Amino acid sequence: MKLEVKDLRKSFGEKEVLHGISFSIESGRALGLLGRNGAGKTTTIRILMDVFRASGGSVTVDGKPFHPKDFRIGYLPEERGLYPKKGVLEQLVYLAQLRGSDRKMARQQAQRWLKRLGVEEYAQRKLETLSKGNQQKVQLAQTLVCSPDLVILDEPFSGLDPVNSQILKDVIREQIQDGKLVIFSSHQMSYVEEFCEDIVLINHGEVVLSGNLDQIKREYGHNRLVIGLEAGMEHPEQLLEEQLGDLIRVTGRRKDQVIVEMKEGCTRERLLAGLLEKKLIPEEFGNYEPSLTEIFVERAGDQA
Amino acid sequence: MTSKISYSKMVKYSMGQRAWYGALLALAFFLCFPLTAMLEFYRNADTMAAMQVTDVQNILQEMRNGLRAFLAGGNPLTALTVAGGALLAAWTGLSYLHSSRKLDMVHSLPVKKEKIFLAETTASVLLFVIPYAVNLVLANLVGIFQGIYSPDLPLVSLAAMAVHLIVFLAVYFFAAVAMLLTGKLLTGILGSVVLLVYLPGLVQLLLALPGIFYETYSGTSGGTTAVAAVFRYLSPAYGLAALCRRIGISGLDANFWGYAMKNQWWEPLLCTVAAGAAMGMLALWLAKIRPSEGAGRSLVFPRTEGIIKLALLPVLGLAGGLFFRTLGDASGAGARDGWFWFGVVFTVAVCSIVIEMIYHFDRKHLLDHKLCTGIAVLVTAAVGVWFQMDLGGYDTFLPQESRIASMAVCYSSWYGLMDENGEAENMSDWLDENGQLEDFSPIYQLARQGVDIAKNGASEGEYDFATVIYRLKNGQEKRRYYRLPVSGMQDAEEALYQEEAYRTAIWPALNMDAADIGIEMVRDPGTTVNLRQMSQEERMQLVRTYQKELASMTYEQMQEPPVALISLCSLPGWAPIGSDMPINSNFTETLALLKDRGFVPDPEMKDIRITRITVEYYPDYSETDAWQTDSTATETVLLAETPEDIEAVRQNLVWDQNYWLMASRDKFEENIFVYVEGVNEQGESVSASFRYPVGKLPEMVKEFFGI
Repeated sequence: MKLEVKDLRKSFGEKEVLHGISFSIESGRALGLLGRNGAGKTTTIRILMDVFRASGGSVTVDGKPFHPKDFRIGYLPEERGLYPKKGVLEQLVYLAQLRGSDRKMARQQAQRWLKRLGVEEYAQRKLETLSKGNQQKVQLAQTLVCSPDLVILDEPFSGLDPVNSQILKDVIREQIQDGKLVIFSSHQMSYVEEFCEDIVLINHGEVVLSGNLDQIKREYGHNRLVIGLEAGMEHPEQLLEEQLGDLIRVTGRRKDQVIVEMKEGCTRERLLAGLLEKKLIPEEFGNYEPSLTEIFVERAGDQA
Repeated sequence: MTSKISYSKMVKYSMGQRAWYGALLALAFFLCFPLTAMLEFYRNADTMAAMQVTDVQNILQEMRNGLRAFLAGGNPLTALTVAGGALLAAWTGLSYLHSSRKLDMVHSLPVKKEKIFLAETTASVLLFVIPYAVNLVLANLVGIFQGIYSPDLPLVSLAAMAVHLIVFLAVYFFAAVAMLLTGKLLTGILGSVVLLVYLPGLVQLLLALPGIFYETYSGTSGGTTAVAAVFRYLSPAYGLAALCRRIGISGLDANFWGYAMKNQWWEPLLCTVAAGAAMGMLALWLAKIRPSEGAGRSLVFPRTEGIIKLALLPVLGLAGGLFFRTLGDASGAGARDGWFWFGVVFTVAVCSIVIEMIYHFDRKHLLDHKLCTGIAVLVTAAVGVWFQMDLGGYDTFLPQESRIASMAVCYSSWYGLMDENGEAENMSDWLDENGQLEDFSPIYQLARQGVDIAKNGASEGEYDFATVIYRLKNGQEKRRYYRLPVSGMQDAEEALYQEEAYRTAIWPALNMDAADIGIEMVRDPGTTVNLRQMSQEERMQLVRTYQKELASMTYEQMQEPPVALISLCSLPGWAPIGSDMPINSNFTETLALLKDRGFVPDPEMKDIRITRITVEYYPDYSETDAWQTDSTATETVLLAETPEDIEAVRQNLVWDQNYWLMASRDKFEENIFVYVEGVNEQGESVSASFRYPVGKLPEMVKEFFGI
C-alpha cells in the first residue's frame, strides 16, 4: 500500500496555512512528520483523517482517492479526546465498534492491548482516575484496538516516563514490522531517528525537506568534516578560521568538535596537511554526521 | 472500514453519557406532575373544608377538572421544563461540535456527521420522553388513589405529552441550528436565545413603533394580523406560550378535543410544527456541511457574521431608542424624540462593539464589518425617521368619502359596554362588525376633526378619545384612534343614536336571541335581587320586554339617570354580556315584571338607613381631559355621619350610571364624587356612588370646600 499526498493546500478563511504539501509513504515503513509548532503537521494529519477538508491537492492510496472510511486507521490525535467519565474498557470497545470491529473482536482486542500496555487492571475504572501516562497508554490502545493498516501517531510519547516510552517504542516497532503504514509526528528527534526511514520536514506550511533519513544525513554531511583539537582549547573554531580560512569554512561547533565545510579545491589530504603544517594536531578528524535535531534546527530554525 | 455499531447503540451510549440530564428532567417533571397534583389536591381539600362546602360531588368534580388542567400541561412549570429541557439538551448533546479537544476523536470516526447528530437528537428526545411519561403515570396514580380519577385523563395526558414533545423538538432544533452555526458554547447559547426570540421580538417592535409615534394608532384589527401571527408562531418561544395558554387552562370541557378545536390551539401548534420541521431540516444540512475546524471560533461560517450583525443592529437599535424614549417620558424629562435618537445611537454603537467582541474576543476587530454596520445604521435611521416624521401619513390619513364603503366609531367610554373587562378591542371589533354605517357623515366629520387635531394640535377645551373604523371600497379596513372635542363627540353621538343599526349595535344584548340571554341580577343603590333561578318562560318574557323598551329608548330618555341596573349574561356559560345595563323610569313594563319578582327600584336610597356620606373634592382633577390629569391632584374629604349632616349633604344626589354617555359628560360637577353608605331592611351594609348635577351643590358642601 502506498499513500501519496500531492500538493495539499488548506486555507482558514483567507489565510493559507498549507502551501502545497507533497510526500509519500509505503507499508512497512514509518514516516516522520516534523516541524515547528504551527508548521502545519497536525493540519496535514487532520486532512488525512478527513477531520478537515483540504482546499486543494489530493491524497491517494495506490493511485486511488483516499477515503479514511475505506481503511482501518488507528489514529492517536495530539488532543486525546477520550471520555474522562466513562470506563476504560467500555469506551475502547465502543470506539472499536465505531471504527468497524464487531463487538466480540473489539472486546478481545481491547483486553489484549490493555494487557500488552500494562493497564489491564484499570479496565473497569473511569479514565479520569488514571494517571496521565496511563491515560496515554489507554489512548494508544484505542488507536490499535481495531487492528489498523494505517497508524497515525501525533506526539505519542507526550506524558510517558522512560519505562512506558520503551513499551510504546516496542509496540511501534512491531507495527512497522507487521507491515503497517506508520506516520509519526513528534518533536522528540531521537524517537523519530529510531523508527523512521523517511521524514518530511514542514515549515510555514511548506515541505522544506523530505526523503530517506539516511540519505538526508549523508547529503548534509557531504563535504563536511569534524575536527577535534586539543581538549579545553578556547575558541578552536576561530583558530581554524584564521589559520586555514583558505581551505575551510567553519559551519558550527559540537562540544569540543568543530564542524567545517571544505571549500572548492580542498581535499581531506590537503586539509590534514594544512593542520599539521600549522601545528594544529587534530585529536579527531572524520566525516560529519548531522543529527536530525541539527538538520531540523538548520532548516526550520532560522526563521523565528 | 464502516462502523459496525448499531444506531441504537450510539443512542444508548449517548444517553448513558447524559444520564444526569435525564435525572434532572425526572426531578423537574416530578415537581410538575405528581407532586404538584398532590399539593393541589390537599390545598383544594383544605380550602373546601375552610369554606365548609358540603357538596361532595361538586368538590370532586372541581378537583377532577383541576387535575385534568394539570395533566394537560397548563402548568407554567411544565412549559418552563419543556423549553428549558430542550435548550439544555441541545447545548449538552451538541457540545462536541464546540470542543477542540474532541475535534479529532469525534470527527475522525468513520460515521457520518449527520448520523452522529441524529443519534444525539434521538438520545435527547428519549431522555425527555421517559421521565415525562413516568411522572405522568405517577400523576394519574395520584388521581386514582385520591379518588379524583376520570377515564379521559390518560388521553388528555398523552395528548399533552405529544404537544409538548412537538414544542420540545422545535425549541431543540432552533438551539441546534445555533450550536451548528457557532463554535463556542457561549456563542451557541446566545445564538439559541436570539433565534428563538428574534421573530417575536421583531414583530413586537413593529407593533410598538406605531403605537409610540403615531398619535392615532389604534392597534391592529382583531388584535393581530395574520402576518404578525405567523411571524410570532414561527418561533416556538411564542408558540409554546400560546399553546400553554390555550391548553389545560381551568375550565376544560369534559371533551378535551372539543375544547381544543373550539379554542383553536391547532393554529399555534401547526405553526410550531412547521417552524420545528424547517429548523430540523436546516440543522441536518448544517450538520453535514459544517467544517469541523469551526470548533473554538465564535461563528463557524465567517460570512454569517455580517448578515447576523445586519439583522440584529436595527432591531436592537430601535428597541433601545424606544427604551430611552420611555425612560425620558417616565422621568418627565421631556424631549422624547431626543431621547429616542440618543437611545438608537447609543444602542447601535454598544451592540456593534459587543457583537464584534463576541465574534472575535479581540479589541483589534471591534470596528470590523464596516459595510454591514453602515447599512444597519442607515436602515435603523430610515425606520426611525419614517415613524417619527410619519412619512407614511398615518396620522393624517383621511380617505375621500367616495372611497369609503362604510364607517363605524367606538367611543372610549363605550368599552365597558362589551364585557366587564372593558377590553377596547372587543367593543371596537363588535362595532366594526355590527355598527358599520353606510350613511357615515357624522362619523366622517368626527374623523376630520381628529385628523385636524393630530395635525395641528388641540386648542383649549375638553377632549376625549374614539376609535374610527373605515371600510374602504377596495376591501381594506383602517382604524384610527382620534383625540376629539367632547362637543363634537356629543353632536355625533346624538346623530348616531338616531340610526337604528347603531342604536342596536351599542347594546350587544339587543343583537341576541332572548333564549340565549340569562339574567344574573337587578339592582339599585341599596338592593340587589338575584334572578338566576327564574324559570325559562319568565326569564324570556322579561328579557324580551327589556329588549323592546331598551331599543325604543330615545336619546333624551337615555340621558336620564337610570332607576336600576340589570345584569345580563350569555347562556349557557353565564358570561357577562357587558357591564350592567340601565333600566330607566320609562321602562314601565320591565319595572312591572320586576315588581312581581319583589324588586321596586329605590335610586335615591330612601328606604336605606344612611350611616355615612363621604364627599370627595379634587380641585385639580379634570375628568374630561383625563390624559392631562395632574398627578399631584389633592383631595379634600367631607364626612357626613350625623343625621343632620347626612340630610344636608344628600340633597340633589343623582345615582349616575351613564358614565359611558357623552351627553352626560357635562351634566355633573366634575370634581366632586360622593359615596353613600347605609344599612338596608335586611340589615346588610350597602354603598353606592353618586354625583351632584351642575349647579346643585348643597350649601354645606359649598361652604366646606369653599366653592
